[in-house]
Order: sequence, then C-alpha cells, then structure tokens
Amino acid sequence: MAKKKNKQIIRPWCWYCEREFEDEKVLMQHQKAKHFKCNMCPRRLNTAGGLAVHIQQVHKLEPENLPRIENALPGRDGYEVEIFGMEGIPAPDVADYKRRKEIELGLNPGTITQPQAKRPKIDNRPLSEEELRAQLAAHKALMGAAESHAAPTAEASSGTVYGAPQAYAAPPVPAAISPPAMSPHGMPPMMPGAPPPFIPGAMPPPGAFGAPPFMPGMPHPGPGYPPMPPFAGSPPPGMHLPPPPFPPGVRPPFPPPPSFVPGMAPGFTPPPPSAGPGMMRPPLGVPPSASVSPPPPPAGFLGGIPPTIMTPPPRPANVGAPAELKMQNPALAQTNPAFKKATDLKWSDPNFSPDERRANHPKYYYPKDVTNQQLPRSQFSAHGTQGQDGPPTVSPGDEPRGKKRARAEDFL
Amino acid sequence: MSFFSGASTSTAVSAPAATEKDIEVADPPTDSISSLAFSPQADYLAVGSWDNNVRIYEVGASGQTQGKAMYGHQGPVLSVCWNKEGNKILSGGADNAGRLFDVTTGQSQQVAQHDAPIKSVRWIETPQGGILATGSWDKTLKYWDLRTPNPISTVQLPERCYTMDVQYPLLVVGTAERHIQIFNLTNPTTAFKSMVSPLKWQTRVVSCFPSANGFAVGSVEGRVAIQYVEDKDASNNFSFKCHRRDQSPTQKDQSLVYAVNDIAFHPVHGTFSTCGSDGTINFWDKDARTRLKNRTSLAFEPAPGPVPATAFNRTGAIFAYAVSYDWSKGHSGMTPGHPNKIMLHACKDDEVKRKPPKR
Repeated sequence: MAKKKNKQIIRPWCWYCEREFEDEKVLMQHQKAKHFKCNMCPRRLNTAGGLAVHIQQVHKLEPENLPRIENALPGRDGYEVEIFGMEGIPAPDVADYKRRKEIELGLNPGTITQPQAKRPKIDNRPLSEEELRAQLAAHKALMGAAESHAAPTAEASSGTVYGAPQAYAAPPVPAAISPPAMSPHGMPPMMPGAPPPFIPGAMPPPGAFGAPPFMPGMPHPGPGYPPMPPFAGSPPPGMHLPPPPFPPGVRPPFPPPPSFVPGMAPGFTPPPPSAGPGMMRPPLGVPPSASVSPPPPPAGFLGGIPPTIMTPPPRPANVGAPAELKMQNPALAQTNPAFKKATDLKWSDPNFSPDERRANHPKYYYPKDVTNQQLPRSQFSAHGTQGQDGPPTVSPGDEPRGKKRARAEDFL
Repeated sequence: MSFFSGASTSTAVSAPAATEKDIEVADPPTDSISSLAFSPQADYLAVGSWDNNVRIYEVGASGQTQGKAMYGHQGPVLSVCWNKEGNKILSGGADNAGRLFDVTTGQSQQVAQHDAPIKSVRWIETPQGGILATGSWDKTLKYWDLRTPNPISTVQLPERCYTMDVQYPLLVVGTAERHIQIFNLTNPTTAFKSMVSPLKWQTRVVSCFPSANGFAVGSVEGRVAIQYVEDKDASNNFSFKCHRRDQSPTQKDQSLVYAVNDIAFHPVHGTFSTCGSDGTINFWDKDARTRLKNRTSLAFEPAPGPVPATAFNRTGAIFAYAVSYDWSKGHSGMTPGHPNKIMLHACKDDEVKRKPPKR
C-alpha cells in the first residue's frame, strides 16, 4: 500500500525512549538492539519479559536485582510492562504522547487523536426550507460572481476582434463596442455614459470614413440591401449621424456598389418568371425583395436610391442602440444546476439563447420600434415599407429615438 | 428524382457515396446559416442565414447543387420552411417579419408580423387548409392564414419561443426558461399540455416524431430527451447524453459539453439525427435506445465547426447539414476564416435504418 499523506497518525514510536520510526518493523529492530539486549552476553531478546527470564536463567541473577533496561527514559526502564513494537503501551502513555505530538505540530486537536475520515461526512438529511433558500442564494452568488468575471474578459477579447475586420472605423468602434459587448452579458449599463463621449471625437472621422464603410460593407448583406448594414456596423450605436453630413461622402461610393452587386449575384441563375423591375418598387431603398433577376434590378434601384437613401439612414442603426438583453422578469431568472464533476459547458447562459445574443449584436440588430405596423393589404407588392416615413406608431423605442435624434441634431 | 424514392438501393446515390465524402453546396450564404429545409415535393433546399437572405438551391441526382433563387429579409433569417405543395417558402427573421416566397412567381411578400424576432416558422397542413405558425421572442405563437394580414389567432407562450416543430396534429414549442408547450392542432389556441423540460439546461431544439406521438428535446448541455405526449407512454421517456468531448485524450472525463443544435427525424425510418456545437453528427434509434453506426470513419468526420442546422430531404436519402459559427463563444468567436458551408450527405441504409433486434 502506498504511504498515506499524514504519516503522523500512524508513525510507530518506542515506549522506552520515545523515538519515532518509519514503521513497526524498524521499531522492533530498534527495541531489540537497544533495550532488550543482555549486557552480559551478546544475546538479544524480543521483549522485556523475555530478557528478564534470560538473565535469571542464564546468568542466575535474582529477580529484584535485574539491571535496568538500557537507553530507556527514567520512568520506563522496568521489566513489568510487556512492550512488543507498538503493542502493550499503556493507554495513558499513548494519550500523553498523542497530545504532545499535536501540540508540537500545532494541528487541530483531535486530528491525531481522531484520525481523519476518508471522505468528508455528508449530511444527507432532507434540507429544510430555509436551508434550501440559503443554499440557492449562495449558489446564485457563486454564479453571479462567475458571470461577472466572465464578462470583463469577454469584453476585452471582443474589443480586439471587432477592431480587426473594421479597421477603418477602428478608433470609435472599439470603445463603442465595449458597451454593447458588455451588455449582452447583462452587465450594468454603460451605454448612457458611452455615446456622448463618442460623438465629439467621432464626428470628424465619419466624414472621412463615410466613403469606406460602404465599400467593404457591400458584399455582406446581399443585393438590394447595400446601404443598411454598413450603417449598422460602422457608425456604432450612439453615433447619431444626421443626414446632412452624409450625402457628400456617400454619393461617390455609389457607382462602385452596382458593380459589386451584379458580381455577387451571377451565382444565382434567375428562375424563369417575370420578376422584373415591376416588383422591385423599392420604397426608399430598403427592399427586402427577392433579387430574382439580379443584374438589372439592383443596378436599377441602386441608381434610384442614392438621392433617397439619405432619409432612411437613421432608421437602421442609430434608432436603437441595441438594448442590453434584460430579463423582463428577473424573478424568473434561471441558474444552471451545479455539475457533479468539473464540466466545461460551452453555452452557459441559462437566460438567453445564443441566437438572442447574436441578434442583439450591433451587426445584426434590427431595431424593434420601427416595425410595429400592420401588414399592407396588397398581396403582391414587395415591401420595405417598414420604417422610413412609416406611420409613427407609438412604441417605447420611439421616444428615446426622438430624443436621441434631437440631441444629435443639436450637436450639429 | 426517382433515384431517391428507392430507399433500399443506396447505389442510387452512388456518385457521392462512392467518394465517401459529403458534397459542399455551391455558393453558400455569406454568414452563418440558421436553418435548412427541403421541399416536401422535390429536392430543393431552402437555407436561411444571418446574412438576411434565404437561398434556394436545386439538388441534382448526383448531389450537385445550383442556386436557384434568393430573397431577403431586413434582418437575419432565423427559420425557413416549405408549404406542403412545395411551391411556397416561408421564413421568419430578426426583422420581426415572416415572409412568403412564391417559387413559381419568384416574388416575396411579408405575411406575418411580430413584436420581436420570429425564431421559428412552420407550415401546418390542416384538413381545412394550410396555416403558417410563427413563434417569436415576443412570447407569442401566431397562426396566419396567408390571405389576410392579421393572424387568425395568437397564443400566449410562457416565455420567448426558442424552437418549434409540427407533425400534424402535434405542435410542440420550446421556450426560454425551459418551458415546453404541447398543442393539439385540432384545438390550436389552447395548449394541450404545458410542462417544464425534462432537461435541466436551456432548451435548444424540439423535434416531433414522424409518428406524432412524442418529441425529442435537445438542450445546451449535450443531452437529448425523448418524450411521449400521452401520459400512458410516459414510461418510455428517457434521456441520454451526447455531443461531449474529453478534455484531452488522456483525461477521459467528457467534460466539454456542447449544445445540441438541431434534431432531425428521418421521414421513413423514424430514426433521428442530432448535431452539436462540437461539429459532430450522430444518428440514433429511439426505440432501441442506441446510436446507429457512427460516422467518424465515414463521411461524417467531425465537421470543422459547429453544426447549427440539419435536414433530411423528403425521402430521407439526402441529409443536409450546415457548418457555421453558432455564437457559442459570443462575438469573439466570429473569426473571419470560420467555415461557413452546407454539406450534403447521401445516407446509406446502415447509417439511418434501425438495426433489427438481435435474437
């Protein structure tokens, strides 16, 4: 058997001289050599009693005149006590020895006296209500602590990653991203604080960056959709770029995009039917329409778009900075059960799904307030009527939007 | 397409099978794929993606694919499905809208509206006609008759809809906070049964048996539960672990636990597949409670990335699966080089068919 960690409990010791030994065999050899040795002949005995008998019989000494045990402590040199290894040690001496060891080593009293249980005793009685609640609170605190540790690290990493693909908007972006990146983790709202500091620094760059964001952004969304996501992506939430500064920056990039779009589309051979421009009545350039016959319509409505594109812009990105994913009813917040063994659960958020987090990301976020409209009655018109100048439905998003827009315009 | 109707002859799809490799769909979406759906009438595959578009591909007899059409939403597309005749595609997205695409005319229009992203759309073919069901993060399930702009009815869900599946007359919705609502579509506005998921972790996917007497639930914790609807069958309920990996080859503790992203039932054999964020796909037989031949040695090596969606075609001969980032590491996992593709696998009999019980 392998040695146990805590050899103190079991280490054999010699009663006569109180020395400690690795194990009992060595102890016995010691006793035989040091204590149970006859001083008149080279004979070695196993016990004190054996030695006494030997001396009386062989050397014919009287029982009372037996020499004392050699190398023994003052009170322990008689032949009365029959010691063999660790056996035979009188109980009070054992206890005494243990106490002294504990004091010397400074262990908890009772460690040596009462050897440790092999596994911690688990109290398996059914827990009472209060105990259950207390345990739940403790667990939640644990989970909460774990989450809050996870968030700052995630933020740091997402800041860098985001910086890479959108290098052109690097300066304002990473800072902007940290609030939304943190927010998906349900962190305390930093958003209100973040946008204002942004805008002053960011205003000049977007003028310059106004052109580039369109280019790289193009392929991403697909034909018929060019202007929107770049807005969503690059002018980060909180940067309310009102229309006026844009047109000059924007018009130039438009010729290139039409060349992009047809380039993208050819992979999709148009199915037979008419499709045609008739369908693509893009109300103000936010058509989600099927780009069924790709080349002409996209170029067509892209051509038609530039003048009109300016009005929609506020719609997609600036309207609603994606709100943090907040639990509507925190009381229903779930926590994951504890794992019996160490487990690395890849998606450990019990309250939101990966898709929700992703949809909340600025890249994908679709502001809610704009779409509270009834479906149009006409059957076959493609619509993107959502938004631009749609009927102003009252919704919670509208108020903040109006305020934010006012603020941005004031700024200008 | 007659090749595929003969389920027994796996030689029909010999071209892809011979190479033992799965075929990549040409011209995949530019961003992660959220859902796949085969047409119930022909081998057309609709793919919804986070790049706001739905793409339709035609799958040829030997697995070659060709993009046929595409239409877009104003936000990422989260779910696609076909109607029974296979001439319309319905999709729901994060733009809170459900759209209909008519294959014959090539036009799309909005047919559904919610207050929050529509996570799941399903076509229900009732004896009275076809109805679109949409489940959304606004905690409602709405039924739509495509001819009218208003829903036929709205059902309140206990929480945000995360997943939904229909196998007439069974409709099962899995929501946040692990609720599961079971509906009998003869009475679609009231939940037949409302229960909490048997799995203790967030629900990721539900899928109905083709026999419509039960459903499978997949969670984020690498576990699938098989549940029967009727209480009398409840003794057959069970769950099992899957999609887990060992921390290291030496430390066989199965401690890396991945989410089960999708479950798809084979339309003929009743076996089902699960796919996970670990990139593996497995086939299972729920009655024998076993895993069918594992494909690691065959065409199904673990994919180079998470598999967010899978689908069988109408005969079960083609199995499509997407490989794309599923946001399991948040935004930081979205690396530019992440694979983003759809693969088609020709199913061999021993992969998807039940094994006869050994005597």
